[in-house]
Amino acid sequence: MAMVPTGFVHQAQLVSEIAKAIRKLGKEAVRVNYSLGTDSTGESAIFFRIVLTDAASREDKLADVTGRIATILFDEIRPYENWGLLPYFSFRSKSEQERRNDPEWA
Amino acid sequence: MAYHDDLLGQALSLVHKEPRNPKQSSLRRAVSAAYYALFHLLISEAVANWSRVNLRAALGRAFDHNIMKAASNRLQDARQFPFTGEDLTVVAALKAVAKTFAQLQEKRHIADYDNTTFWTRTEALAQVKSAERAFATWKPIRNEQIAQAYLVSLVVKKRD
Repeated sequence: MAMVPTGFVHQAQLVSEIAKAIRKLGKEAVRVNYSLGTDSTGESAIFFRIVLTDAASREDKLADVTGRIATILFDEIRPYENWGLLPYFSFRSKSEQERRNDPEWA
Repeated sequence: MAYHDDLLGQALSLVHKEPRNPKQSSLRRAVSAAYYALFHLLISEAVANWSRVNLRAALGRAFDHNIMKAASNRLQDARQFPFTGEDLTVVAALKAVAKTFAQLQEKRHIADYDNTTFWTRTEALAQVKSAERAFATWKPIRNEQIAQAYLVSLVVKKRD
């Protein structure tokens, strides 16, 4: 029998956990969007799209900033252990998003 | 220079190739090269344990992307891998490398096949820098017992 990840079943609880985690990210994260789906291997997944300030997107800071944000979201939500979801993270700068204006990131 | 180091260098060079208006082809190939850099680093580290040097490359062909990803994801589950009594710094470093591997593999798939996804330089650069960081993180823990066990898990299919 196929198992449905907890994250799909208890979405309201997951939303609340995510909101709590996002509040801990600090000012470098301008906006965080996410969606549930499946990854390229068919595993249940949560896809985070994070818009960063332009200053935080500078090359000399990027690895630190993205590493810190991903770690906070990972440790606070525990998407794999608690919700059966593999987490994936994408990062854009604020000015890149303003130029592209992608609704998924808005 | 080792092949994995060359690939990482190539990823960094591609992501900066067009300073003003980066081409999607450059950014997408950069992400792909970053994944393969880490893929080949881990395989070269695993097969380095094989004492017959001339057979290491052939042994490297036994590694499978899906098995490597599954092993990397399993490592994040404290119920399966509590790492009781282990040095917490080493555990955190190993988990970071494994997490980066799983992440990069998914991004590589999108970069190589998905024409509907637009990449900005920051998106691609974040992936390339994460590979660069994984290289640096791996180095000091490479001979630790749990790191070596991880390398073995990358080639062994889990049986239920």
